[in-house]
Amino acid sequence: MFGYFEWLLLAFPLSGACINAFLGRRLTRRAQLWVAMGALSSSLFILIPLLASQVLRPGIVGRPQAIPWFRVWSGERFLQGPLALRIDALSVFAASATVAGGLVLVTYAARHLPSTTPRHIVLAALDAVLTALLLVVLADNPMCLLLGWALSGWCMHGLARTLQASFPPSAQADGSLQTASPPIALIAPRMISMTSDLSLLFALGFLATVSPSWSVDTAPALARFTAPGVSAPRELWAAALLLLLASLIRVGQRSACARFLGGESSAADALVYALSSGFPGVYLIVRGSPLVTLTFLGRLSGLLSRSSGSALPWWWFGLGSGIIVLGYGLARRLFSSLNAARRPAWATRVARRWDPVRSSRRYLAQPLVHAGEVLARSVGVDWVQRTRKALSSLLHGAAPADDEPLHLTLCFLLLGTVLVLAYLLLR
Amino acid sequence: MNQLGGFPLLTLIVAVPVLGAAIVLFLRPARGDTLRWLAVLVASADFFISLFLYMGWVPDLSGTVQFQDGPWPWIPSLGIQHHLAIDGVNVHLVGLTTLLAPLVLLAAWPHSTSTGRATAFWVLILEASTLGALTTRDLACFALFWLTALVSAFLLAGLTGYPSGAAAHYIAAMAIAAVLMLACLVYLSGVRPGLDIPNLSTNPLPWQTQAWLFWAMTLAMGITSALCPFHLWYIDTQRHASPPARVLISVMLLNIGCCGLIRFCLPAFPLAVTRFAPALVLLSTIGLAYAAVRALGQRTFPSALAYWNVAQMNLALIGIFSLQNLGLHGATFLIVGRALSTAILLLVGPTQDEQQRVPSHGANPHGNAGRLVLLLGFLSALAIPGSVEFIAQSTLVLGMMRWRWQPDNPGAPSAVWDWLWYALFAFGLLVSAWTLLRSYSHSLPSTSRPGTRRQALLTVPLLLVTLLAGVRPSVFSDMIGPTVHRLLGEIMSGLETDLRQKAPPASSPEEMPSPPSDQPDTTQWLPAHGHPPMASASITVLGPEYVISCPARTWIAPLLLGVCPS
Repeated sequence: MFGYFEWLLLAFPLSGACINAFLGRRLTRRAQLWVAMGALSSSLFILIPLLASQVLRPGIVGRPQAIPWFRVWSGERFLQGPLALRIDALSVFAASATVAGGLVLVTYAARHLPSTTPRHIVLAALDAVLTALLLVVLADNPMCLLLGWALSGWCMHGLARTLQASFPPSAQADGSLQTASPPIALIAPRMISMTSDLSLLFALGFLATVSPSWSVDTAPALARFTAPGVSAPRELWAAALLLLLASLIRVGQRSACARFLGGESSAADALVYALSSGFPGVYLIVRGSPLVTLTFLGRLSGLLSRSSGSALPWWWFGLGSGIIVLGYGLARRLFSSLNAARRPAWATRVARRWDPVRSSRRYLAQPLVHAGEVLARSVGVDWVQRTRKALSSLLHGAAPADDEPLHLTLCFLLLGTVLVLAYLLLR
Repeated sequence: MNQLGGFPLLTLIVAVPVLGAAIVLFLRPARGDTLRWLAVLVASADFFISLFLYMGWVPDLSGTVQFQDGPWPWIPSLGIQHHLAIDGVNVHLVGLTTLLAPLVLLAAWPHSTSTGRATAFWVLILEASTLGALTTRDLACFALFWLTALVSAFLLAGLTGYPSGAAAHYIAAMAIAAVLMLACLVYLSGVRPGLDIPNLSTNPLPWQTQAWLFWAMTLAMGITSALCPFHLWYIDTQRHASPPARVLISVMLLNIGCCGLIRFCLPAFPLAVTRFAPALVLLSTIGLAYAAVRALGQRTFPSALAYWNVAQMNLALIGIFSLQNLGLHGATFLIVGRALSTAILLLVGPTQDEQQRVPSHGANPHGNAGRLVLLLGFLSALAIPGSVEFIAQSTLVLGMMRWRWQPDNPGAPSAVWDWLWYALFAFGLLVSAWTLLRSYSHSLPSTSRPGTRRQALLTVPLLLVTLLAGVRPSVFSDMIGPTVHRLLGEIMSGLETDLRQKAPPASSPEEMPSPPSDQPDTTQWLPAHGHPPMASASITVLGPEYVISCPARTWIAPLLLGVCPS
């Protein structure tokens, strides 16, 4: 019975979505909000001890009971494709960020959606999107990951349709919804999302041709290709390329989403984008980083080391800092988009203190690598190495290998995002 | 094997609709409603009888048939037997057929006021012949049931009037298919002691004979399955027939074609199957992309859906000829999922006339029930997670990826073709989805026609099956898996038998002579000698999985051999 305990992480938001979808019309507005928030808070309540255990002792803490889903008889044994969760540092960390972000967005949606909106449907859709995202970040095998990935895309589409139907035309910035053809507006984001799904499916297929392992953690299966003199086969390059393509398509869905929702800066557009496109895209790169490191980043590291010799950590730190700065600037721009349409009180305070447009322009204008190098020189390389070791031991329970710089940079990025969210929540 | 104490369950399942049709034929035509209710009752009874196939199913990993009637001699001089059997693949197709028949009869009610008797009669005959074709293990009986199904489908579709061009297309296509199949039958009856599957699969025929027979039967089944480029008869039928006839032709006839390929072609011609599989997969991929693009250009919903079906059948063929466990699983799921989605969409979607009458973006929508079912049908067809199509497409693509076109040959010029094939495959899948999205956005605001709510209610069982197969696919894959594995084993044993027949008795494997140059080099298909040779088609055993590897530069040869095997 306790083997299924971690499944409650998904069961709570799913039940919140079901209650709001089927019974929400009979509930008061406050009760609808309590259902949505309560479901997410319950998940967060389960996540806190898991997070604490990962901080104290990183690594996989047992395996939750898998739910049989799909299996193929191969003559000797069943090739299993069950629904299984993976509770390690990265997944718990990402799940916490997902639920925390979800709480912010549910609060925002509850406060600032137009009164004409069927709030229970929007809240149900939000909970459904969060359930699918949790399935993505907690997936233990590729089949489960693919299921969550495709499901999150569909849920995002449903959420966007709900918001599109509920937002009055005045709330849409340029009114393009009235001029754009509805079929095109319906089809384009879905096709983009399906391209992303198909890219991921092909990436997993290529990976399966090379690696017999059936786990989202590809590092052990790819270890044999990291030996000196062994080059990655072409299938791995294709898998890495398609993985990047899948995540980039998902991250780059903003324009299609905006077109769908009828305005570049509508609150709904930013809401849907931040929740369901950016985060899974980044997470997929982080989770697939052994593969990306083995192929693209391995080549890049070789190139950088040939050009700069022993300054390789500096390069990576510079690149990481640049990504953090860029991500911060983009996040500010996102919040400014949110505020432009319907600005909540806390966002007003943030906006007064930090002018987002000026900040983002300044950040984007600066050469990113230069900023990183200046930062690295000011704090010293030893500190960088110490931080890297600490973070790596936190995430993997072991000293870092030389070929995992992407983990570091993207963990910085995730950490920064969570800190910004925590700051906004606390204020 | 589950014999139910010798009770001929399968014969009963096939015979009940025939008895129903006979009663319908001999009742007085004045009793219109009675006739229809009787037909629905008979079809429903057949469905409930067929449920015993699932209830009596014993989990068995050997993959042998679970229910069997016969073999009983029918025409002993020709070696023809009455031999019906159920395995893990055709049990789902039988269940689908018996489920669909009463639903279609109920849905046909408003369309068959003047032709109620004929509709009921031909629906029951088509159901019986489809069930016979799906379950029989004798090739001659299969051909008989198949021809009956073709004729009854033609007459059923023609009840509402056939344009002459459409009728000519249908008759021409089916005549060609029938001639090819009869040619196969005549030849095989001369060289085989019997025409049932065990007789066909033991002692494989010579390579050249296999090649001719394989292509003849594949073409016959390809025409029946409306594979591109043999799909024009199907498109015309879908444009002009009534919705119930569309559903039955889309589900039953197309399923018979696929079932014939899986149950007869694969075990009967193992040499030709393994040799021509790459060519067929390539042709099917081109057909998938072509049909998807043509579907995008259609202006009416039935036409677009018909082309989408053609694309899906090509996709299923890719899974079948991947000769992989996963690929065949995916193909079976796809055949069932496509049939369910098509039935739902045809039953509640707009007809051709309605879409021509009403502007695309009119403000006169379906009722809520109709809209909801239409949405769910489209979501199922679009392979949303939780639907059977999602499982089908995922497993089929993963199975295809395990078919390593280009194993370990980096930098070879054939790599370009490899990537082109993947691109074409992905393009076909995406454009198919695009077609559906476009059709949905155009068909949703169509007119509300009387009876939409009733039609929507009729599709509820189909939606439930879709959901069940999508949420718990292991229920179905546990039944499919052993059969598929046994089928692949039969192909392998056919290859091994062929090799043993060619090898001199005293020679060791190292001294084994090369086969004649006009035959495929089957010595390289055995798994025993380490790494497979890279320059030709090869089968190796990777753990429990059969993996067929074929470098892309050998694509052209099978294509040419397909045209002229000699």
